[in-house]
Amino acid sequence: MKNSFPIKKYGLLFRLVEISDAEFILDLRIDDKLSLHLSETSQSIDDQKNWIIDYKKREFKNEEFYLICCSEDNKTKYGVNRIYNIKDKSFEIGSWLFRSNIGNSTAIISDLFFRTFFFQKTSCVKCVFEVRKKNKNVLKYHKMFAPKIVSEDEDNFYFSLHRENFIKHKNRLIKLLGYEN
Amino acid sequence: MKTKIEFINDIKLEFEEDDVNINEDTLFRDFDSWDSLTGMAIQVMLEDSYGVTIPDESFKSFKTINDIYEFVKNNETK
Repeated sequence: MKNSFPIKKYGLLFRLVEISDAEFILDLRIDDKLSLHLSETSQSIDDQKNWIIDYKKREFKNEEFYLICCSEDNKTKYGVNRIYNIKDKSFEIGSWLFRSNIGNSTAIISDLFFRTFFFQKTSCVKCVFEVRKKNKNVLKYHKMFAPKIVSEDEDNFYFSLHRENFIKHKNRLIKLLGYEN
Repeated sequence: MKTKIEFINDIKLEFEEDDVNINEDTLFRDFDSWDSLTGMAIQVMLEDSYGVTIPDESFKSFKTINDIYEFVKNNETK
C-alpha cells in the first residue's frame, strides 16, 4: 500500500506524511479556526515529530496511512487526511484538516481521493468516522453520502458508511467539481 | 420557480449558523463559516431541489445570492 505513493491526480500530489511535515501539521492543528472541533494538541514541534515517528512505525506495518495533499510540484502543502483502525473490513477516517485560504474544493477532493483509493486497494467494505455535533459543515458534508448513525453521545455522532454508498455519492460530487472519476 | 425569498431561505438552510442574516445582495463567501463544504452543500441542494447542476467553475464566479438565483432561474428543470 505505502509503495503506491506519491500519486498525482486531480492536479494535486498525494504523498504520505514525513517528519519534515511536522511544522505544517502543527500549524494546522493549532490554527484558531481549524482547531475548533479538534482534540487538544500539544504546541510542541518535538511532540509532533515524535507523533509522526510513531505513526511511521504503524505505516510500516500497513496499520495506518497519513496523507498530505500538496500542489503537483510538491512545493505547497494544502492539508492532511488520515486512515487508521483498519480491521474487520473497515477503516476509520479522521485528521481531515486543510488550510482555510486555499479557496477551492481541495479538501473535498482529497477526502474523496483517499477513501476511493483505499476502498479500491483493500477488501474494506465500510468506513467509520465520528463528527462533533457542533461541526455542522462537516456533518452536512458527510450526510450527503447517506451514512448510518451507529451511535451518539453528548458531543459526537458516530457513523458507518458502506462502500457502495460512498462510491455512488462520490461519483456525483466528483462530477459537480468538474472532474472525471 | 420558487419566489426569490423562498430561494434565499433554501440557501440559508445550508449555512452553519441558524440565525444567519442573508439577502440577495449578501456576499456569501465573506461569512466566517463559509468553506468549500458549504459550497458543495448548496450545489447538491440546487441539483436535488431545482434540478440545476452548477459547474464548479461557474459556482466559483458567483459572489452574491442573486448571482446564484439568476443562474438557477435561467436553468431550472424542476
